Amino acid sequence: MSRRIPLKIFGALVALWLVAPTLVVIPLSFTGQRSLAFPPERWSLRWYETFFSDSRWVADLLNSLQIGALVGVLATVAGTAASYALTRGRFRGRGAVGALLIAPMLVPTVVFGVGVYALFLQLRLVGTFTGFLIAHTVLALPFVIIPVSSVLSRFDTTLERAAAICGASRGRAFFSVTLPVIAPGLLSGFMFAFVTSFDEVVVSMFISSPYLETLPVRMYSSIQRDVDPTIAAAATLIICFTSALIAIALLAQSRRRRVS
Amino acid sequence: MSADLEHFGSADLKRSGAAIELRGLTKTYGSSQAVRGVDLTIEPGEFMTFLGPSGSGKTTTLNMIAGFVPPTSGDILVDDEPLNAVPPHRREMGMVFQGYALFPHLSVWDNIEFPLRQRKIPKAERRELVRTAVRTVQLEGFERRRPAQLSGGQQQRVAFARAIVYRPPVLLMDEPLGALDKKLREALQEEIREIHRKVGTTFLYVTHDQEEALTLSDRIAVYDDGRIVQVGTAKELYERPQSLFVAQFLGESTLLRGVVHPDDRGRLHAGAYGIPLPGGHTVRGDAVVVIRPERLRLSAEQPAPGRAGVPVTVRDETYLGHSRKLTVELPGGSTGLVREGPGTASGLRVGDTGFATWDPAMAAVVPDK
Repeated sequence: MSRRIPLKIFGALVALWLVAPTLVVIPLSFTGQRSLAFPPERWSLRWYETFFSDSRWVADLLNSLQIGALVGVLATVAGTAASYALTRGRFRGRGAVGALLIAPMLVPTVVFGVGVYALFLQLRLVGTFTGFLIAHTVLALPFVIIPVSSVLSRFDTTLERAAAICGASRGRAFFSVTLPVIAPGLLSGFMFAFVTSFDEVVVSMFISSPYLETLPVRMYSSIQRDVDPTIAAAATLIICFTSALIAIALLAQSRRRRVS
Repeated sequence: MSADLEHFGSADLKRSGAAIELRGLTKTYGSSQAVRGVDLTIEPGEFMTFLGPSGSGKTTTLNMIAGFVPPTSGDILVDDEPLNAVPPHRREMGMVFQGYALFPHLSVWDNIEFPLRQRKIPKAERRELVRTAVRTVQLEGFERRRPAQLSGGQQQRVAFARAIVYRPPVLLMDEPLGALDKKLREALQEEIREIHRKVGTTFLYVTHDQEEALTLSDRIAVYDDGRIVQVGTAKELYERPQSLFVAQFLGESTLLRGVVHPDDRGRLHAGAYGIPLPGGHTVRGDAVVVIRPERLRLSAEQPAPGRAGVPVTVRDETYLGHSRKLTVELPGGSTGLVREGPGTASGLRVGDTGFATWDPAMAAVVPDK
């Protein structure tokens, strides 16, 4: 028991080292000053006020939420279908298809962004909602395929046989047995996909326009123009929101594990 | 399970079992043959067991009947209808899987109701059927539990209830008791037999446990290396094995090896001994006489006229309460087994020599492989 205490301390230090830069943003957002000086000398909620009273910040937040939610759904549906084919299918080039679908995670985002930009210019998708959906969904696919493939490969296929002999067609067996059993994997896939889209900045910079941009794009350009603590307020909102999402996903998963 | 069987026995609910016919059923995986041309007719309502060591093709045969594994060649007919093109969900069979395969996200009630929902049975009727099935397997009070909250025996009962709830004409069982301890297994065997008697469904049971097969089945098909080597009742297989494999797989026995000469079919020549054989056999050449332990008698004297016998030395004795089991050394140095009941006690002790005798008609002769 006592031998584990140093390990715990070490773990806590590493965790702190990883999140400390993020946590600095939170007090910064409550500053009463006009600069991003740390630690703040006065406290205020004025930058939250600025954030929510500026229609462009709010519009970009809503854009990000909408795109993130839709990308989550699209990537989860497409990624689950792909995972099913990759774990169950017996077709030529299965390995190559799998590698291709994971590639967006491995290719440098800037490279991916340049490619998407060139392609979207031709297809007139730059600065469009559809363009964001397509680009972000492709980026998010690996984050769905990895967890869903892992739960699918652990899934006991005898359950599908049992469903079949009980009278369920393949489709019904999938929706009434396979899907509920692998749901925790889908949920974490959805969360990862949402977060991937929600805080994506590089590719979004390429494909945004003055008429359509997302919150991270706005934050990035705002910090280049003027160092205004509004960005800290925006960042704090993002941190709280994504942390809440991930906490929910983890809670749901651990509850499920206890039940089954 | 017996408490509520009248529900299953009542005439309006009872659906009698289907006849199953397998014709030249074969399954090949690459270069290995899992099932090599199985022919078998199963009567409606029969309790048929596939018995064999693991990898002998019995489970593959069952999976082909269920529709999970497409046959390489051959036909499966249920009530004379070929099933080859029918997918599993339209075969109207019930199945109990080795690991039960209960749906982990559904309660006991929902698991049992699952097949009824697939068949679009009205809600009121569904409730009645599930309730009956729950009572049949004595799981009242557990309806809201998840499978993970049940013991192995209870899970097995849920699997059984799910398989019989829609009263399929055929029930397939793949080693359903394999994961349970001996006592529970014996109790559930009794219940399975009881349900079989009442529902009239054709039962197809796969096991590698010979005792289970002998206890449960109307007939047993013994599998070896992808083939059925013998089909018969427990008594036929035990008393009249047609091969050394069947003789050794089912029960214990004393084996006497020798040669049957074509011009002297009444005797097995084993060294200096001529052992009289049962009449009507067709074995020639290298052969083995198989004698079950309870058919052998020990005595200090030469066998009486009409009985066969060989000199033996008693090597070991196991006291079993109602009987005792003796290991004896046979003339060639091999060992034999004798079971003595209260009426057949010889009084021979370990180290004594005497004769092991038997009625030749009660022995079997099979080819030596």
